[in-house]
Amino acid sequence: MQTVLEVKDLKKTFYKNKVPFVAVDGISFDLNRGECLGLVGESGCGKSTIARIITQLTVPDAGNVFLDKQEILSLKGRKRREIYTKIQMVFQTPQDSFDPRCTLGDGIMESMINNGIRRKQAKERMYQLLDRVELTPEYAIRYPHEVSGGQCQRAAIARALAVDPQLIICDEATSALDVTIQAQIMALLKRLQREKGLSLVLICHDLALVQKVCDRVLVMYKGRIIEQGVPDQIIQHPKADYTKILVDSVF
Amino acid sequence: MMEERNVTIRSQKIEKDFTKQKVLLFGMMVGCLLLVAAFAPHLTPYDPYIQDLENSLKPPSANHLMGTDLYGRDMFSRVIMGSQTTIFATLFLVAIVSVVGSAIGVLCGYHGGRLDSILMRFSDVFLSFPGMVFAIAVASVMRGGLISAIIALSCISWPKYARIARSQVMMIKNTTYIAAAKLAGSSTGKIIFKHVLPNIVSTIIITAVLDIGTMMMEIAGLSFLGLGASPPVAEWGSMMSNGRSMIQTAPWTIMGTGLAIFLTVMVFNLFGDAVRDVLDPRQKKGKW
Repeated sequence: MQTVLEVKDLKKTFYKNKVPFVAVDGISFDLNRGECLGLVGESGCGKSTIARIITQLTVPDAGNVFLDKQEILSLKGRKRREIYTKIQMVFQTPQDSFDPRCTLGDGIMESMINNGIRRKQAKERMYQLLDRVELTPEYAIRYPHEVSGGQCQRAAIARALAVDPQLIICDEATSALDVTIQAQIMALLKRLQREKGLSLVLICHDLALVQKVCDRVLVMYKGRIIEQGVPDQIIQHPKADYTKILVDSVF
Repeated sequence: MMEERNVTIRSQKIEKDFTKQKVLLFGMMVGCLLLVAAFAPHLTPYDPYIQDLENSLKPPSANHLMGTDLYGRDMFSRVIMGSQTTIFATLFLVAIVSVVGSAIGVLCGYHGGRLDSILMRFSDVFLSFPGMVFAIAVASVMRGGLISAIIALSCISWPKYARIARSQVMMIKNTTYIAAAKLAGSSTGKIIFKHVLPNIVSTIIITAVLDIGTMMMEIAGLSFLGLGASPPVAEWGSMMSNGRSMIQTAPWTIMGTGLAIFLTVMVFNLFGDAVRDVLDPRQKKGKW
């Protein structure tokens, strides 16, 4: 198995009115090609912070992130922007993740144009992507407030796929959607993962969903990984106290 | 239920059309004023600068609609000619202040850190003086003239735009769609021009349009004090100042000018309100 992503000893403390809050406290894990990793835990346990550190939206206090054996946190400027052709993210609130003044089509094409693809070719590819996420071409000229959450999230997935990344991080990508749409979006992500050999990090607090789609799961509590393994095993034989509570509250 | 909903939707639609009509109506009025200002030299019935001492201080009549001033110049012609100076100086001032002010605000808001602190303390300095007093001081140091009046008023007005732009940018900077733009590999410049500016530009436009009336009064105010346009240039503020001493013997010398300032400021303010209602319906005040 080839390792795509390696996270080593990440630490991040936030200060609110000078009161420290440890969001991530020495997290290490790795991710293989084509693997789907679930990251579960309660709100505020640092799941989203990890996603933001890997995508370089937040600077960690300590630790390293390796993508294809290359350290990415020390990169600057253009080199730093280039890693976004390998890592993409799907956000929790689909409608907020598109600029209200740009059409969905423009949002999907932005990364392609930034990578030097001509507008015409980018447009063609954008229509292919819309087709792949099961949206009709007319959505290209819609604005985010004109479409439903599910449709918007499909467009967000199309945007994430635009640069053919190796890794997509889904930060609670389905929690703002209702259950049937959620199932459709997950099926779509799984299908794309099989077709393209994509690696997925699924940040989630829904254990049932994790059990269904993930190959491996990490349980986080207060900034630490307290348990990891195959989802079925963790759900049937939880070891840590917090995991037991988590499993009991769902099943 | 259904019927009730239809009625609400319909009344909302009518109201929306109505706000657009208001912009159109006041926009046309503003357009007329701008046309008059642009073609002022061709519209004046008399030469606004030629003195005719035989006809000095004549009350309004068919020949001189607004009477004549101390030097026998036709007031109506001078009011028309003055519109050019006053309106264009105001628009120039508002354009400079809103562009420079918001550029500084965007820079501060997006960049943050030390640059932000320095520029904001600088703007505090300008805000800590009473505006007009500061403008008078600056204008008099620069020895008067319309240009120095504009510079003086720019000095006191940019912090307002900088603060508005800064607070908006700081809000937008942390939204998910900016994070998404970063993930799309957009450079900082592209993010600012493509995603930040379009989302704050309506606020800036609203503020600028609503400011036109105030700025016009301030330019006229400085000119009235002798710190703006210098005679014999026809400018509403200095014309008011010239007529002031004759207010009891020949009230028409300031009446026409006063009316012109009043109407122009009102039209620009109403236009500003209408533009705001269209661009930013949340701030809408009660019906008029």
